[in-house]
Amino acid sequence: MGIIEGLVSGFFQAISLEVFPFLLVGAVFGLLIGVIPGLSGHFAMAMVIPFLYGMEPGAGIAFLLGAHSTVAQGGGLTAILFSTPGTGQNAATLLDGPPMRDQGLAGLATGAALASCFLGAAFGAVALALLIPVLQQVVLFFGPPEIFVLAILALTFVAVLGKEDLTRSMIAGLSGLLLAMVGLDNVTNQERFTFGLFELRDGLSLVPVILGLFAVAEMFDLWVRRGSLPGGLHANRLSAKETQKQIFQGIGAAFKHWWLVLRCSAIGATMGLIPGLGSAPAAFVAYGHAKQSSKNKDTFGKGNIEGVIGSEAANDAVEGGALASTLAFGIPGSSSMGILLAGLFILGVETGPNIVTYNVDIVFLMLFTIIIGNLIGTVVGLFLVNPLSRATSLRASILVPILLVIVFTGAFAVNRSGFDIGVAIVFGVLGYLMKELGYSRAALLIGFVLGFAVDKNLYLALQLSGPYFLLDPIPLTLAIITLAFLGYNVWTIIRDKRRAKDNAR
Amino acid sequence: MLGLVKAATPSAPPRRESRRLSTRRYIAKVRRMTKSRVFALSVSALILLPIMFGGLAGCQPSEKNKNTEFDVASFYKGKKIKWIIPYSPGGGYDEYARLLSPYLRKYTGARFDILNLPGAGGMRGANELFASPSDGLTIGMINGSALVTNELVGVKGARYKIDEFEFLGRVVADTHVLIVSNQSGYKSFEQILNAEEEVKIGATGLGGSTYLDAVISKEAFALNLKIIHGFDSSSVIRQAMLRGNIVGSWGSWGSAKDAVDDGRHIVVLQSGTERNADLPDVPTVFEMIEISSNQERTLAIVTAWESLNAVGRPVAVAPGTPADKIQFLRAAFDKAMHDPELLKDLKQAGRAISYASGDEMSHIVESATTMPDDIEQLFVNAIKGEL
Amino acid sequence: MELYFIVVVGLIVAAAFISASSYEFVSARTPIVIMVPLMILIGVQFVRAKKASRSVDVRSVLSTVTKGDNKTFNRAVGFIGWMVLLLALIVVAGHYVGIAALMFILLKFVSKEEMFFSLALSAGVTLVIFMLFELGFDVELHRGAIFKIWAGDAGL
Repeated sequence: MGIIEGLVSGFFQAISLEVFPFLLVGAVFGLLIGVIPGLSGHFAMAMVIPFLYGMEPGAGIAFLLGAHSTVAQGGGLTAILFSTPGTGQNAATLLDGPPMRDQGLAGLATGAALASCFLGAAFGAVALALLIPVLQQVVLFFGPPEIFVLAILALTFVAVLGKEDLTRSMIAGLSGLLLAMVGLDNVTNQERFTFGLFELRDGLSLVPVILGLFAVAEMFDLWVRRGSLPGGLHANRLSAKETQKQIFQGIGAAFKHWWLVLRCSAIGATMGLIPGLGSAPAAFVAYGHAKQSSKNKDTFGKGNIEGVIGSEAANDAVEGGALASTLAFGIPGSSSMGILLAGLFILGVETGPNIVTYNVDIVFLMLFTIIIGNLIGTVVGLFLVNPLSRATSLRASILVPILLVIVFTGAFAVNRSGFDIGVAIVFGVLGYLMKELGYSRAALLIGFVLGFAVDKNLYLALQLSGPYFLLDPIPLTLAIITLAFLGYNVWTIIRDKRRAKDNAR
Repeated sequence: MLGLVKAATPSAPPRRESRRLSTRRYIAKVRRMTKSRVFALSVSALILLPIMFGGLAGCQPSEKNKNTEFDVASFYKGKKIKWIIPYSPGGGYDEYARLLSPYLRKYTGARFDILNLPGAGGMRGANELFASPSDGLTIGMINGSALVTNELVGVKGARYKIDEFEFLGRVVADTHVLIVSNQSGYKSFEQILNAEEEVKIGATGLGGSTYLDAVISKEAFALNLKIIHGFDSSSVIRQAMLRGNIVGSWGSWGSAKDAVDDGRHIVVLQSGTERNADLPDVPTVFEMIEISSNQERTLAIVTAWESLNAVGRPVAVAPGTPADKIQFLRAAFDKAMHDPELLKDLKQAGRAISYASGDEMSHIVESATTMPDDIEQLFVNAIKGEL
Repeated sequence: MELYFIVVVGLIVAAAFISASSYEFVSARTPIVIMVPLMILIGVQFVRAKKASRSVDVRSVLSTVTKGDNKTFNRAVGFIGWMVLLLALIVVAGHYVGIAALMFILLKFVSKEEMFFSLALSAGVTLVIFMLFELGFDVELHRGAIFKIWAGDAGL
């Protein structure tokens, strides 16, 4: 069927009575999963799968994708309101979201986050539809050498994030890389840094590390300062009306910054296309870009709304990109995509490059599911913000035990392992220390997430193309971009330092 | 929520004003706390006990190994059986378990609670199953073939003995296939046999099944292969195939199916003594023995290889489980695996099935673990990557 | 403060370096490449921290801290203690007992909330988590070593 017919058919299927209720339920479900720290999109979809048997393809797709698409929105909410990222993708939102909340702008932040998510997802979905036919050519360009250099490029964003103190953030980033090396190297079966612990054979699990570094560390801080979340000193509890007003302002802000949203969504979608990188780096890269291109660079990290907009737009667009590449090849780019494929298979939906030729209405159904799902998520999220932000004004002495317990449960639930809780504790202490001493936890996280990709792809690149892989066109271009970027940043640091010295005289 | 917030911003109690904690007062305070803590803990214990019992309900005290004549069936009626799956939810093992459990429930009368215990390539689940109580209320689906190879090599962290498990039966033994990309230029196994340049084959981890298959096939048929291992997962391998970085790889037929149906991949060789119904035109490894120069050795290698594969994905219970319970569970498993409704469900889900009974499993495991010494040494070296 | 941190981190990295050098080349390659600049940077940071800390008398800081007069430090260590206690409780007595008990202890004693409130909140949150995870998500939370041993489970 033709494109237009497919579009129309997909749209009507999405809002039809057989499909829409599932979309609704899925979207709300995904939102709730996102809010709970530790549970992610992978988890949400694994929960959905058992229900898919015997469902109609349309309804099943709506359920699956609806759940998947709203998880990042829920995660964004908890990241801002409780300094606890609901999922790994929301870690970048922690950089500017909580500071905004501390300034009494929680409503603004959440409104902007929800809206950016929606816009990002819409962009991602559209990109998905447009790209699938051409995807074959595009993605095939990214082999191990290319991914390796790209990962290094993403790492140089550490330099941007930690421009204030390059040494400290580099230490953090490199340490993160090192931490990613823990575990069994599947090339040589060599156990690296595992101390003979069985539980460390598979390396450090991402979720407990994130929960520890960011969530537990925040609670640590709260507890020690005995404050309540909005900064502690002033009782900055917003009234419901005030919050509501702010939320709408936030939504407006996201639309106002549409060009930023577009750019960050593009970054997100592009990075989502590349299999194996994961969704967290995309949010950080977009954040770095937002900071780089902003006129108020220095306010980043202290509550600049652009930081929130950038990271949230990217982390939803990532899903669109990942979905595009998964559908185009039938090859999952990540574990949650793997489950998605399994679900689609159960529903009888064929994937692969032919999907555009034979089932273009399904493609559009997916597109509309994502968009409408996110819209539902935004609307429902709006209603959730007020009650949730009430909770933030609870005293630390009440809030911390509750959150601690929830986080511990989340950490456990991922692999059903008590060891992971221990990991979260250790990283909680580490995160607190880092926070107090001014080391960038974001840098550590990026290093950690990308470390694996860097190591593996370097090995594969060397194996497949020999040591001169850097001279191939794409890696070379990317490497040049990386060096240029790094050089520019180092230069500006030196320049700023010199200026400061001159001013001080 | 509103009530909570009101309580949270009190206008009065000075109880939480800053206290100067000198050491002495601190100690006194601690002493006071300890006294009342005892009291409070007993109170909270009283309140928490009901909650605990909710959790306890999942835990059954072990039955002594009585050989009385009580009806095993009535023992199982209404009970909760834990089913350990050594991989995360959403994967193949998980799917099999979820498809099977309603049928097992039908034939045992017990509920099945699926417990995902991922880690260490399936070993964690195996360890847990091995150490679970032998009351017949915990079963597990294990990655049989991987466990055998792990034990052969003596992998650290393997706290089980594969032949001490009590097997209920096997769910499936995947057919392994050698696939090549349709752009590689190779269309049949003969071509690979006669290839003049190195054929690049991808594999995942050292010692994993895709790696082992590649190395063993290379050894058995003297193939000119360059095995590139270290790929993260079969998806990454497939991407590399698409890009032309590698020619092909070994894998299970189930996961290769859709790409083959599409025409993007071609199956050139399959494992097994008989051709899989889906692959009538593809030669099996046994058929290919006749073109080998050292037929006897090739036969020995291929037989051992096949016996390893035959272990597949069995379901088992912990060692020491009483015989009558094993019997009962085996019978239920047998009936479930032959239930036409289950077969229909599996077909719809696109999952293969190759049932072997509990008894047969013990024989299968035995032949997988007893190979002639030189062949065993070959496999050990292969798994360790020393070939 | 930062001085100690840096020293500890440096020691850990050094230990890692030593163990990595015993790995096979392919596995050791990347970690070592990472660690070389890392060590250099740690050294740089160490020097910086040392310069900055000259103004603080290390010994007096240490004695303040060990006497228990530094409130922040006390609370921080206390918090670590609570977390470890929670983990221990969870492992031994099971997830629900662990979280309920710890919440109760923290609320009632450390935060000085009223008895009823502490009990209610602890029980309430535990209940919600129970319903959400066990009933809703079919995720079985740890049962606790005591129960397992009672049930004859040799594993954990």
